[in-house]
Amino acid sequence: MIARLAAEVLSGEVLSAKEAFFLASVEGAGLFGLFSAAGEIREKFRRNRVDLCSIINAKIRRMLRRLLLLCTIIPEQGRNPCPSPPERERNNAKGP
Amino acid sequence: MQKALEAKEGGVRRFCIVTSGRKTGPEELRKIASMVGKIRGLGLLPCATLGLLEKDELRLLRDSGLERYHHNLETSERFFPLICSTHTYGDKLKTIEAAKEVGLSVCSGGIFGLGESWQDRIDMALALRELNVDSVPVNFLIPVHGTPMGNTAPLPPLRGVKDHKPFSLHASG
Repeated sequence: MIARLAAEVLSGEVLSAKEAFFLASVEGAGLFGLFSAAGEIREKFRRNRVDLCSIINAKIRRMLRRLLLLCTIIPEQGRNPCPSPPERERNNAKGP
Repeated sequence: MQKALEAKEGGVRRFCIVTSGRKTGPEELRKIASMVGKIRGLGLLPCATLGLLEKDELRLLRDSGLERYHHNLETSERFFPLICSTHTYGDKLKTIEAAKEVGLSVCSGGIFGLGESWQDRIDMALALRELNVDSVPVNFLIPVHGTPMGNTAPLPPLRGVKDHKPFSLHASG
């Protein structure tokens, strides 16, 4: 069944939702067939090549720069505005 | 720009500018647009993920040299309201369609491990196939303590690899 579905995708056909559910249910030794089919499909449509995509977070970087500046200046006034790691984690979770 | 140069020297082909939040404001957008042109000038393919943008904002980025816009669907339309309350699945579709309309390549995928079902994953794959996006990233939730998903059990790495395969066959087919 996996080989048949892979052959269909390789020949340009599309899978139905029912067929996708079957693939999601594959377990145990059947996983080798699934991984192998996925590899063949990748090679045909995307070739055996990996593109690297590097990401920079523009806003966070600016915020960090401000935070570092505060951490440098304010301790001299007797206060430390730098959040402890758990606080920082909670703040990040709230979003910008 | 220094980071873009380092990325180029490290063999990176694409360089993506990311901001967090619902969407990027006009002033920041103009700054990013000017950076996009410079990144292109280095010989990198510039990508951006800047939230819910309108067609004119996406056109500004395209005219500045942006090659690809990244905007994840995240999950299915049914499951989306359970994980996000600040905007709708429809808002996301609107941004993706606008990006395609102005001629940008689109990168859109989602995240596994939020508590969604296989039905949700397959519905997302169907939606991405229908949108004819160019690239489909699949992320796996790393639960962070103190967040609403903090107590969610992480997907074991091999489970993630296994779960990704049917999705990739379905989305590419």
